[in-house]
Amino acid sequence: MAMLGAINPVLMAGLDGDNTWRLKDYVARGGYQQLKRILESKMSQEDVISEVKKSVLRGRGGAGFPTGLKWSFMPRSFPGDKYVVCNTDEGEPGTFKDRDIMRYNPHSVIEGMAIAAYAMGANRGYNYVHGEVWEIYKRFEEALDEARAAGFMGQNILGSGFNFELFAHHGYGAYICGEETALLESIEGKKGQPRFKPPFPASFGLYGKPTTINNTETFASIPFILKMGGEEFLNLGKPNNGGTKLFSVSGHVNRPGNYEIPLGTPFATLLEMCGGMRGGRKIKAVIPGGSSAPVVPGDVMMQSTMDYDSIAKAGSMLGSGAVIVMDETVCMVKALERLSFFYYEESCGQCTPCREGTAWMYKVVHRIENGLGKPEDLDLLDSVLGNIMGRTICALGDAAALPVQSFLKHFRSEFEYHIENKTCLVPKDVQWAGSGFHKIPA
Amino acid sequence: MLEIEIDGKKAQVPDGSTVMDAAQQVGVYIPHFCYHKKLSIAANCRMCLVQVEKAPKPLPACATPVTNGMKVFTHSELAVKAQKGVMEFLLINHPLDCPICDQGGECQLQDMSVGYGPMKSRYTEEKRVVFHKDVGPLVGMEEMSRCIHCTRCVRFGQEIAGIMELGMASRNMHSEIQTFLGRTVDSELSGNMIDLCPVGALTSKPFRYTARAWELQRRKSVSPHDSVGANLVVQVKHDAVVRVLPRENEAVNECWISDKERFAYPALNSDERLTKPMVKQGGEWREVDWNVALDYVAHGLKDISREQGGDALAALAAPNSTVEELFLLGKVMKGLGSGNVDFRPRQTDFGTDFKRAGTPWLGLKLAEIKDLDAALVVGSFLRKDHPLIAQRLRQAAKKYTKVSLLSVGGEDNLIRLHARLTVAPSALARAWRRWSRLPPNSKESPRRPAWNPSVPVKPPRP
Repeated sequence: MAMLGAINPVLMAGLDGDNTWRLKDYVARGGYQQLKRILESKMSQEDVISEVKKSVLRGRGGAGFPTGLKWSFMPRSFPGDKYVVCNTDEGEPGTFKDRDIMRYNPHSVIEGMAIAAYAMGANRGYNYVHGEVWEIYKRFEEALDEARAAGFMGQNILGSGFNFELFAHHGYGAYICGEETALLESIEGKKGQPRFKPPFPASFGLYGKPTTINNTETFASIPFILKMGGEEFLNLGKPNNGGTKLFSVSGHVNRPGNYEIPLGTPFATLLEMCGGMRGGRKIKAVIPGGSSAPVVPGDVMMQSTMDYDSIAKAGSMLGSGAVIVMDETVCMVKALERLSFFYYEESCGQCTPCREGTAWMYKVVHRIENGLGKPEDLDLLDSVLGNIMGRTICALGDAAALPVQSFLKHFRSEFEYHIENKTCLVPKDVQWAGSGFHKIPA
Repeated sequence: MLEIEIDGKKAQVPDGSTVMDAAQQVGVYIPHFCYHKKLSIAANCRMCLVQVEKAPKPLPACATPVTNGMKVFTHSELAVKAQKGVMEFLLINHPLDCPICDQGGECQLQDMSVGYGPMKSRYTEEKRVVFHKDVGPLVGMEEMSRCIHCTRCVRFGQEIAGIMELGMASRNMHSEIQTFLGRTVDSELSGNMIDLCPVGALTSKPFRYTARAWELQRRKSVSPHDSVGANLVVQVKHDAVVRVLPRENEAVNECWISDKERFAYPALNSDERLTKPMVKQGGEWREVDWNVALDYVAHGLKDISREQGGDALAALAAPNSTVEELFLLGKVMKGLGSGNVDFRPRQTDFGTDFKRAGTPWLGLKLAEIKDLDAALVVGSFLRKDHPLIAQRLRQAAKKYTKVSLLSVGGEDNLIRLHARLTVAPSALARAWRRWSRLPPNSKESPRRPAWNPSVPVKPPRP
């Protein structure tokens, strides 16, 4: 089953059967009708882009950049190859929505990419699939074969004279390859390291050609936007935050999983859909947008709604929509230690502040967690993360620094307690009770 | 032209310049490690972060293109804070073993840490340790913990030497500069990586632990081994040559020299070298003073000249002797009544001497190679024979010069070739004759279809 719960689902509607990913099923759900309509009616490229602009679809990968605007940056009159690239390199801890889209509805991504290619005058596309989820890569290849056989992809699609070739490409699991320019490097067969911008991919992208990169969920939304019209898609959500979005809820909730809800739905409603907090415990903190988003205290989160603007107001980012819920049994120092370790491991090592800074931050947090912290360590952390933020080639430096900054801001007392008493503020038996792995004997 | 203001100094710079170019033009120094004027921009050391008006974050000067009316501050609070932050990061994992480091005294990191480094480290964790690597007898990778990952050596290999022998493997703090699967560094220009390395990670193996930089006297010189006459700095300690470095000259060697130039000096200090004159008397070699030896030679030569005439004498000079040496040799021979002087010990056929006017030469300045439309190389293994010309052709071929090769061996010059024809040495002249009869832009091939020289080399200058 694709979804545990949804409100007004769009992307994942009608995905309850066993073979919902097959072309036959997708066409029965009304799939490829929009591609057909556009090609048959010879809809102009501007019209397609303006429809997407009207929907105020914001990039679902994390940055939330308006998709229609991004598409309009593409130099459509550029002679020669142009590329459309789909970013399914979903490596952010807590995020697992693209995997389910690719698993249950891959044809919506293919159709979305074909429409995007039409709108931007591109004839070639790549879908870069995260290396640690091999089965969805295989499934996507099968879906591509189906689409090719049915004439929805390849040369002269549906007799319209429009050509579009789409290829799947799998990575080997590096988080940095989710950064768009590192992803392009990786497709080119080089080491996945981000490029310096400018030039941006829209002018110098894959193989030096104009390229547009969007998230899987963004592409998957495109057919539905064209089906229902941009305005209606926008009205599903709230102004400036169009449509529905998948949220991957994980952590201390009763039913962790993917939930599709309209943007602007209160967080409390989402939590209710997940069956509430595990064991009925109190909510302590929420990371609303994947591990690189700042943490928000639980009570602040209960007051906000799930959309780009109000999460930004709460001091965080909606990011990729990975909601990590933590209850009162969590030691925030230990949580931060694990997060910092991830960024330390995944830094690509290209530029100095990130390469050296992420390691430094991890080592200091690790020391505090293990009872070797010093009173001046918190100021040191503040200063180190300040030296990383805004000084790096790509956003990984910021992504590594923001959690540290927010943990220190909201839960400083726990860190101070740790340094002073060399143990957690949350007692060990309480932590064990919450973990679900360590059962306390009756 | 674009207008830019750096630290209050106004300048006009050409379109496409970076802030670093503009800063050099107005004479403002921006600290940097990974930036090098001859290499591509990496922007990975982040040392050159500067404040740009209206930009929320500090930007790297080496990679930020100048826009019209841009205002840049290299010493503002924001810029200096960023530079100091980067310096601290570079130093936390650096072993700080300057007292035993070969680079000490001429190290960019050492110099920069005086200006931007903290007095005391806040880093109390264990430092990174990187194992040494054996990459051959010339380039030393003995203390790779010193590396600051500027990737200059990697880019040098890719762009100048034409072969990527070093790369950065692994991720994060554990990324290391290394060769592919433990191979050696064999490029004929590999020594330049030692010069490029801003720290003591890549060092010269023959020079290792011989001298400190401040003990050395510097002498200007010109290369005796290299066909182009690369400009050198020969460094001397206690009247012995201990190191040879390139001297920058854009017209000749830019800032590179070949390995045979750089690493030839140990022969000067070899025990097997004859340093005192000897005279053979009674079938036995005897060491004598210079005065005695010179007298002996002078008398011998004069005797021959008197008894058998000057024409009985001939002198063959090494072709890479200096002009002054050759002039003096000519003068000596004239004094002995002989006109038999030549500098071509390897040439056997002098039949064309009377048909040719002047001395054979390349026909153009080395710096003009990059502007050629096409070049034809006949019978030379460029990489080994003329490494620096090969380097210039390699850069030119990346742009628009069509380099074709008429060779006698299957060697790889690491140059992107337009066409290539390999013939037996005996067929070289015939192949050249057939080629030269083809009209320009001809599609016809003398031997095989791949042979498609479009434009011949520029004619020699009058």
